[in-house]
Amino acid sequence: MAAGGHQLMRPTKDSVRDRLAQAGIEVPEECLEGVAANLDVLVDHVSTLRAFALNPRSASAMTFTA
Amino acid sequence: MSATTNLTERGAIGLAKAVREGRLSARDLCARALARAEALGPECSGFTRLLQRRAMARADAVDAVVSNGGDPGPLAGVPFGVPDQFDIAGQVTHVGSRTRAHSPLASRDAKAIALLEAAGAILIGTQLMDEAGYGFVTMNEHFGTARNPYDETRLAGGAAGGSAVAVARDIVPFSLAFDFNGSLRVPAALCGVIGLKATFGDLPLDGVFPFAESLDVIGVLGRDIEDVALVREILRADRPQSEAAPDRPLRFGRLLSWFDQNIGAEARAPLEQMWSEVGRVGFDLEYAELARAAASIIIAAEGASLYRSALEADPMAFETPVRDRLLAGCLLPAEDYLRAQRTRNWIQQRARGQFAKSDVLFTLAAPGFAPLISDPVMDFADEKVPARSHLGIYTQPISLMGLPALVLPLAGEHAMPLGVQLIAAAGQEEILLKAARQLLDMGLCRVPDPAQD
Repeated sequence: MAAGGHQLMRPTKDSVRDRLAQAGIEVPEECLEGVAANLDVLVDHVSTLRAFALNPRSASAMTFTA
Repeated sequence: MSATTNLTERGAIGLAKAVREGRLSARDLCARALARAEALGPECSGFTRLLQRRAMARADAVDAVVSNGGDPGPLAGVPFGVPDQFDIAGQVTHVGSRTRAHSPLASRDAKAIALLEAAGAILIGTQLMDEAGYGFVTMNEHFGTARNPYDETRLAGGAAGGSAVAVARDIVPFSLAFDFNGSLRVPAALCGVIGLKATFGDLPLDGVFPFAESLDVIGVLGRDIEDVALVREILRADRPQSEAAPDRPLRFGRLLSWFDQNIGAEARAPLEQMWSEVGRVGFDLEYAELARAAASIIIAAEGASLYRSALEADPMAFETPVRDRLLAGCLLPAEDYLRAQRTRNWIQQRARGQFAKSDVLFTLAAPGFAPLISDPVMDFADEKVPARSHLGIYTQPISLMGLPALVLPLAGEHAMPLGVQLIAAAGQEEILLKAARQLLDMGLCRVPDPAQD
């Protein structure tokens, strides 16, 4: 996973190329469009979560008991 | 022709009884299943790798126990399959991916396989799945596309599509499968079989290749509810006895809001009919969309982390849709992954309260009939979207909550199978089984006759 980052910018081929390079992953140019499309879907999910103002003190990220 | 054609016994329990009583040999039973899987081929049988030598040796051992007056166990001689995600001693666990073709051979069987074989069952092969288990379609570039037994031009669903196909065709009376997002529930619905996803942490994962370890569980696909209950009981060998279902009529509640949107026209009337028969009580889970979002982020991040070294080594070795999804997961901020985990914990706490009002919640397991293989899309929010990533819209929120779920085929003369998903509180699988028996007895649900070859 990449570190931090608060902006919810729509991914583009250029931004995906840069971010993959920062993450140390080299991929052929032909992959970038597909990755951007999938990242776009994840950005929507991230937006849904961020819009829900869950107080971090109301739930731990580290424990889960079904 | 079914593998059990001309046999009076049906289902794993009946077949095992016949083997124990010497009316049927395990060798004959397994040879029939293997021959039929081979004749149908991977896409129509669901089996990608048949283990003839191993299976026949074990079948002979079961027959020898019977000949000597012993009891091979409650699943004596019953053939079964597992997705290509369960370790089998001496075999590569491909996980549906050619990136693992040169992985070391597994040193021992997955614990679930060992428990079932100790009860007399016989593993006959591994089954088709989406690459890495990441998809709802079982369209695998390297191993094939699982074809729906009731219409071979349609999807079987995924990711454990081959496991559902093998049961729907009655090649084996049951299969094991995995489920972190709906992987066994979606194909159960589309192929018209019963599918039980256990409570998170309840069934053994030892020797099952992970994908999203926060959500990974295994379960059972079968044609008979008592078979499914027995297999579960055997898999829980070292677990505390589960709580019995209450000795009173169960209270059903239909999930609305998120679960009432995007339902296919072909599925709405059967679902409404079932709702009318069980009391027309409904609940809004206001956080269902949030749950789906959190599940999607957790899965994307954990799957990407798991496969990162393989992606760095050779991204082009993955099939295109899986590679692109995994790479996208590599770019998720850690902060959002942790936010998704907190949300999961928060939602799970609230889900507990829901079961004070209802014993069993229900919704569809998949939005409608299986999509066409030639056009694998579905309707979602007035758009055509890929079935690969969306068929699990009603299963994903339940996965996040870690709850047990059981899929049953809805009764009726539908052109293709439709499946309802029953959901209970954590650890309450006995309630699910009781609810399933009740719905089958009422005629609201019914497993269709095996698909013909």
